[in-house]
Amino acid sequence: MTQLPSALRPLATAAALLLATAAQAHGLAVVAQHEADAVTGLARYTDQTPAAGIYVAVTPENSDTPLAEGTTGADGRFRLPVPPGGPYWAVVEGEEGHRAETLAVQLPAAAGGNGEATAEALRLVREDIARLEQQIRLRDIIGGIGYIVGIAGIAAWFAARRRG
Amino acid sequence: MHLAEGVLSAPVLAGAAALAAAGVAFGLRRLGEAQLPLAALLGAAFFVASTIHVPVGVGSVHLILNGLAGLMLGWAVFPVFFVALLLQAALFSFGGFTVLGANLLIMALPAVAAHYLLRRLVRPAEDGTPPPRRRLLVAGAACGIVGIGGAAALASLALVLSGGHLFTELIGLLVLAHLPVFVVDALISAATVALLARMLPAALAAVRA
Repeated sequence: MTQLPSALRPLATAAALLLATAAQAHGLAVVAQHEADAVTGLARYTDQTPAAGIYVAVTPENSDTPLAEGTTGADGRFRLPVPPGGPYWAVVEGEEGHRAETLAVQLPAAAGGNGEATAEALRLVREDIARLEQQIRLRDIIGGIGYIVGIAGIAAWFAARRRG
Repeated sequence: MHLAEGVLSAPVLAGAAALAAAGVAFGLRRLGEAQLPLAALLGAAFFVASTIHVPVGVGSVHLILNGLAGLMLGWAVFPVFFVALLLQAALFSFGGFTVLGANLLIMALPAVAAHYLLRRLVRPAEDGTPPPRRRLLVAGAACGIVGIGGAAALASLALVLSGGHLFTELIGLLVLAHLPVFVVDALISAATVALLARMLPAALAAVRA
């Protein structure tokens, strides 16, 4: 790492603190699709903030060697040109060693002249579905509390049996 | 501060899993029957607190509260956190099953440290008079600092031991990024300890030797 001039260090610290959002978010999730000549997608943390400026790569199915590498944009989106073929996997790696990968679903080539518009629409729908799937739902949290109560109940039952 | 799957090297994962299993076994022996409801309550608090992200300023922060649970439970935090982390991995894919051992150590060891460092501060005196309020606040705040600081240090250590080439520069940032968590956790823990002393002194008197 190059040394920052000392005057810049407080600024860098402040910037790092402001950018700390991503580091506190827990999981990293990625949705990707293989369009005509590129793999496009969106990387997000589980609190739904976009994973901006993190490493992304496209790999063939049975290999770890990336065909294309890049970083996500400020909105967490990426577009990496790939040769025809596939299936391809999209891999993203973020802070704290967060990593996520997904199969880049092959989008069918649209009939007519508006293939790009169709691909865009499909992309948005897939992103919405992924968002719904990743959402931490209140009922999951409540379910988790239920598990904890149940496990404590089982432990209490064992303790009572041991005593009895 | 949950480490994700596929980051740590196999020896680190295996070692952490073995240590964590030993911790859970030891913790279960130390978990008395009378402690059980409190353990479940603190386990649920830990589970919920680290699940819900609260927007603070430009970022979002969540509580961890591992220090507070450690102060109250001692070694029993191992089985308690094990359950909570298992649920988080199963329900929300936070962390993962292979890194469960490492994540458990990261959360639970600082909690046990908080217990041994701070228990003297919160126990009532021999004649039953509660400790002064200021000392309780200090103990609560120290819970947050020991708990989060220790967890960040252990997470960094696990990354260093795995020799991740990407991580050396990240580690400083990891600690820096958790400064807001530090502050919030310390404040909440301090408020909780002070409140317990006023409303339910028996809970603090029960902090085990």
